[in-house]
Amino acid sequence: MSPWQRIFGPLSPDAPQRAGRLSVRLLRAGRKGALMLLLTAPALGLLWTALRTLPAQAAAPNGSAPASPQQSQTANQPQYVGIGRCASAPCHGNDAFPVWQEEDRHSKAYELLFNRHSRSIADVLELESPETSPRCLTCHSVLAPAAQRADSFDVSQGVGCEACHGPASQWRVPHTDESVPRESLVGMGFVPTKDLGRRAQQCLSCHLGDAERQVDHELIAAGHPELTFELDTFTARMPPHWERDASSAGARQWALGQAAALAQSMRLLAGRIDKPMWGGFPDFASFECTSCHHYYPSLARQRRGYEGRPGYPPVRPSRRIVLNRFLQTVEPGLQERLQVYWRAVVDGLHSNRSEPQAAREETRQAALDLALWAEGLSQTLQSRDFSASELEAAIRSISADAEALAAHGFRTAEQAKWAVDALYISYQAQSGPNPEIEQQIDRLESVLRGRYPSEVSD
Amino acid sequence: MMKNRPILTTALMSLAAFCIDVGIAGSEPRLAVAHQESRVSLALGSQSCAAPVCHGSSAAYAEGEVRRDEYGIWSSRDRHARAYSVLLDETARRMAANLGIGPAHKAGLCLDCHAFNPPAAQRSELLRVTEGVGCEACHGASSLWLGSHVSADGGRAALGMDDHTDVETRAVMCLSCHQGDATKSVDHRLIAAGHPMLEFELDTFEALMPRHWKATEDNWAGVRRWATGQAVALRESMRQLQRRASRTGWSQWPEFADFECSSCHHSLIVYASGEDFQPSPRQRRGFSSTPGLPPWDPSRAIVLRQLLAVAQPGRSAELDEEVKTLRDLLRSPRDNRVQVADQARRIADLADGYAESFKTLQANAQMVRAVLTQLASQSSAISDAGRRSAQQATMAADALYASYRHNAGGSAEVDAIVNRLYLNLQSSPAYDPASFGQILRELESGLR
Repeated sequence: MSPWQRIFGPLSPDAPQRAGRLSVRLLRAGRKGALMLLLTAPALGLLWTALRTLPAQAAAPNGSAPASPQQSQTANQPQYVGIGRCASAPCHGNDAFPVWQEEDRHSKAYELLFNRHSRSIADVLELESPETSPRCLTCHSVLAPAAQRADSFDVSQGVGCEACHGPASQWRVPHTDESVPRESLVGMGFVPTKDLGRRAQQCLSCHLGDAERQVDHELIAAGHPELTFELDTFTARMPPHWERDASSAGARQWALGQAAALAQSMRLLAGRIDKPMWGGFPDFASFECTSCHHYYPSLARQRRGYEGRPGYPPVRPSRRIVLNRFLQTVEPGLQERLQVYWRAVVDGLHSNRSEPQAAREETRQAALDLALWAEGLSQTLQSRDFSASELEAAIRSISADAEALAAHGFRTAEQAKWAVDALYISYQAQSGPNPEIEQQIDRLESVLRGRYPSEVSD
Repeated sequence: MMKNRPILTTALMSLAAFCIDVGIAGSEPRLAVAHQESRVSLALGSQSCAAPVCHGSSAAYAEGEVRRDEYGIWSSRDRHARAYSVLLDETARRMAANLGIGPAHKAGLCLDCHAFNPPAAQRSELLRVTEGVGCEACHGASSLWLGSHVSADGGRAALGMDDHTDVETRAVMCLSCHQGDATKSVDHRLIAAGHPMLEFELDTFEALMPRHWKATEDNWAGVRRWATGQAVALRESMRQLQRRASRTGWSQWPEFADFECSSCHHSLIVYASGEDFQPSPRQRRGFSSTPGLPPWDPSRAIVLRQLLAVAQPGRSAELDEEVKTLRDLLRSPRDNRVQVADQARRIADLADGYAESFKTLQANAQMVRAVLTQLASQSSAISDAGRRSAQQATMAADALYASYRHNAGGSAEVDAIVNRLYLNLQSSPAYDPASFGQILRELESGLR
């Protein structure tokens, strides 16, 4: 079993529900829960993968009799049929499809591979060409395995319908019947993106990475932009090819997305600890860029101080710090738990033990523990309503902390800005505009602009 | 004076030493006893050297082996005398806080180089760390030889005093702090906490140090000093690498300080994407191995190698080969930990041989020109190897051309080029290999 499989798989059919409920319980169970979680972590680890890879690995279809092993495998696996099947006039040809094709940048993801930038990256990496390299295609198109490609599938269509909604060969026909519950299509490869948790995982699989898709440090060094993501903001920015549901936008989607991203980043870290990049270090992409990429000597860096060992890069703060601040205001108990889990990861990474293997194993486990906990948190937040006063307190708290958040790097500053925007959307929906809070948000923005004048644009 | 009236001089100095001894005995009888019984030389502090007839004269004596005003030069002009006081400033406070070591001026980690901080068994009660890097920090704890070194019959080394007229001994002594030794090291943790990175080149740093000794060397001694200093620095840095690679702790190895700083410490410039895309300066420079991994810093070998190519052509290929092996091993520093330590030892042994042969290097104008031209012709390799290599090349050009100018006359044009090399390194926190390499290349035409 590869290290990645140990972390992201394998799949068992009932893993999602069981693991999900259990981790929600653990969320509230405190110390005892943490121990239990530690002991059961490998089994619980399935949840995440289950959700992510279900379409590709879906179990046997309902009632079809297998012919030969070869055939059955092909027949059982949902196939990617390409965008043409969705784009006919009576289906999505007049609504979702043109929005995607004309306005949504996902439809240009494949074309990008032909531009000068992509060529340059491929040259540095000594790839034959970006448009044929699985390393690029896995996110810039749908990298369907050969057995799952229908004749109509075409890799040049970019990040098309099935990239997010799942391979459609089996659910394409039943899903046209609106009376068929969407959940019943999941076994056929359908991904219910209206479910915020599923949506987060689907987006994060490329926009943060998973076992197969990673913008690692080598790719960034070669010239690929570093990844950045916030579920609510990116959903809002995406030209909608669906009817927006006001109740899901804002605070809830933001908070859930934050927890999901933290969990995902910890799974990546765990895999990278298992399979170090260089000198025993997890891939540098798990660390904060500016902790190394600043001119030396940097007085600002030294003044800020170090969370662990000076000179050892810190794990990216951008996926934790704003969430941490938010929890501190609205769920102090959970924030304390987060701190405990986080401390274990940092202490593990910075430990100076003479048994590297044991230290590595412990740290990997600490990252997985945090991932599981954050997955549970994400589920809890999916059904959590935030009151106007909670939202106000959270916005005030994040804004008041603007300088400190900005000091953690542009990526953290950016997350702070996206956070207050998302939280204010929900606040407004409940209590209407509030000039005083808007002032707070303006202050935060001016601090961030002041610190990162070249990165912040209108 | 020594020659004319040796007896009187010796008598005066012995008297001074005697006074010091009496002083000690008078105030601290226990010390005097310990002093007589001890086989270990005790540190007595710089005041013990500062009697007016010894090294505390207000003006230099023209005659004699020593100047006699050494103490005054050190205490008023030499920055070694202020090494302790910097431990009290804001930078030191911040560093100590980042390191969690308590006050810097009380931490052994700092005092080991910012003062003379011998083990307890070697301390007398006269020693004050507050004096900074005083006489004994370089010349050794003096109680066993303070009285007898004034006559120096049979040589100072025989008395247990380090012989600093030997350039190799001196280089080892300087490097013990300025590069690190078995117990002292400015590693990445210290640098991150705020300590400046160490830079050192023997001849340049000696030229910068207010001179408290009398030069008795021949015309091309500067070249020998530079060459020996380079070889000893390579040897000691390889021993340091060997020690570091022998550590097993998870976060103790690899040690980032062994790798090229600007490979990580550069800005993340993002140019326009799409068709307007421009590769970043780092990407334009290209990657010698996997993109995104820090390469080893070859600054201790890459400039020395240019001297070998001229002075001992047969040996430069051998060093190149061994260095290449080390560089390749360091692409996977943890997997190759044991091999790295072994390879570092091999290169240290080679460097030991160079140091021995450079002590008697017969330099001349033609050779120095050839080394400078060689440096210029390797400008791309040197500048691409990083800022520390560029620093070594700059100090090499400075040291070599100073000797050349002294013996064969110099040109303002070359002086200007050397100045521009220094300015290039100081002008911006961003090291720019392209512009540095261009200036270094100009040395060739400047020498013509």
